[in-house]
Amino acid sequence: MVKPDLIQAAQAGDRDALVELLREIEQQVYRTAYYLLNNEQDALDASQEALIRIYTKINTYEEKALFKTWVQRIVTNICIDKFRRNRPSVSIEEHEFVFHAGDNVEAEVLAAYDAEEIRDAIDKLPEHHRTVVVLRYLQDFSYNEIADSLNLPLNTVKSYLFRARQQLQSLLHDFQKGGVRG
Amino acid sequence: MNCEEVMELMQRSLDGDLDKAETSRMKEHIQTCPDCAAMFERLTLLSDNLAQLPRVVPSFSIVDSILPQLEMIELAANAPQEAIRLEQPAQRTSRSARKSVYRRLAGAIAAGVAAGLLIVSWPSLRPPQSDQNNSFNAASVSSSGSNAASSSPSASVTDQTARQFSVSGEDQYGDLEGASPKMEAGQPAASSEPSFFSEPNEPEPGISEPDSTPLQESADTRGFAEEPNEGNAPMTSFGAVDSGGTPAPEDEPGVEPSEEPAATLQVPMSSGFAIAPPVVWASPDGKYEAVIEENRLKVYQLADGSLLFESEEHPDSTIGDIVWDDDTGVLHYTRTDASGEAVRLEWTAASSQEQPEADSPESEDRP
Repeated sequence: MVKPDLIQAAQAGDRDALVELLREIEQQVYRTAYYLLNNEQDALDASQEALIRIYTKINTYEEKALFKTWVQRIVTNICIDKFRRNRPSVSIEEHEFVFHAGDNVEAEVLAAYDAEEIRDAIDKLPEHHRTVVVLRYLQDFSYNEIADSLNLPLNTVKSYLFRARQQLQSLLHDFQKGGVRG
Repeated sequence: MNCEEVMELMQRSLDGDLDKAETSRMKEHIQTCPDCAAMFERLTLLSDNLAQLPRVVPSFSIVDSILPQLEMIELAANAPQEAIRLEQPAQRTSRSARKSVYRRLAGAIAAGVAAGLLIVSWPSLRPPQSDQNNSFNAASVSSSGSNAASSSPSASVTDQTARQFSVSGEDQYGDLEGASPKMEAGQPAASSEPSFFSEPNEPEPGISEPDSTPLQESADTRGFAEEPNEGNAPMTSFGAVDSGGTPAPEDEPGVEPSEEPAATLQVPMSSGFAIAPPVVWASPDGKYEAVIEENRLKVYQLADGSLLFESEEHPDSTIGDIVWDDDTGVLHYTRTDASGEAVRLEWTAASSQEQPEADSPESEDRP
């Protein structure tokens, strides 16, 4: 949680405060970028870009919004742009998911999914669904905070999140079944 | 209630968004519908797993990596009329950090010098229970062994005392602290020592002004008299030192460096003056500890005590301005040679290399 007086000092032109502020948010920025882009190098690039943008745009932040949602809006926008540039968008409905499971996956019905499987599954989601999931689970944002960050209506956020979870559940479930069929 | 409605309830329940009535409606349905029960179990598992995804952190400080770019942005924004001022804001953080280091150093030195003087001047006042503290004991014994009235032996005693303090490190403070109640009984002068040694890192307002007042004077007249939380004992004891007219500190080469203005405080190891209490700079992330030993800067890894780095020996030069960056594992310091030429250096944990400081004036000459 970034302290309000640090933000005010940064906005008042205190460059040290601004750099300190960037240090405080660096990890949360990177975490979002990492899970949105599913790639360390891209995440580092996007985080640098986001922090520089925050540095230059700090005066556009208004206190009526939460600072953390403002920050996440910047980083998610950058990641989505980056994603659009780098990869063709895949519609989850059209795509038939083929998971290449390891040969020895056991037929455990409800084994915990490992982090890499989940990351790969998140990576298959349409960008808005993915973003909602990342903000919900990697930033612990509420529906309202997600709505603020993404400038979406509350109901849209819920519907994205619910659908994303169903899709993930189905992807990971298929994955496990795929492992059984092996 | 159909399964589709229950799906929404299940989803919202994962986010803690259901009230009691909704929760019991959902549970009622799940108990009678195996499909929904299975789905709820899977969604719950998924949600738990999502919540447990690793909180990845970058492999290096992203902010550090963009500092040069931020500098350029600042340059562009302020150019041209304020170009000269650019390096100022860039270094403000580290400057102020250094200032506080000065303060601590000044406090530590003043405390050490005063302790040395006290022991030299008043050998009879050493704590009777000094066996609780070996180094203190040794210093006291040697000070009483040498004649406190002659200046050069007493200087070496001061030196030795200081070295004892710096070598024995933090345990000593605990000992002194623990011993203080006993010493206070009828030993006012001795009781004052543990009280200021017990908090060697506290900034001491009385000494903090980096003005041109010689440290010696500030120690006698302002520093300790104004030191907070010390009660009456220190004032009494230092009043005694002051008025006693015992050994003239000016004659002692070992004390001489402390008369430099605090603002340019260095650690002149080669002159034989060892700084009293901690000459240890722990990094903010608690991983490393920098010390000055034998006129070299050494960096230890705290986890296993291993020596990570040892600077080359430069005779007649001094190392000062030692300050860690916040959490980045970068240590800044200045080496000043005999002619007074200072080189700003930094040591980076990532590479364990010594190099010229990135934001030093030299490197900023580059376009």
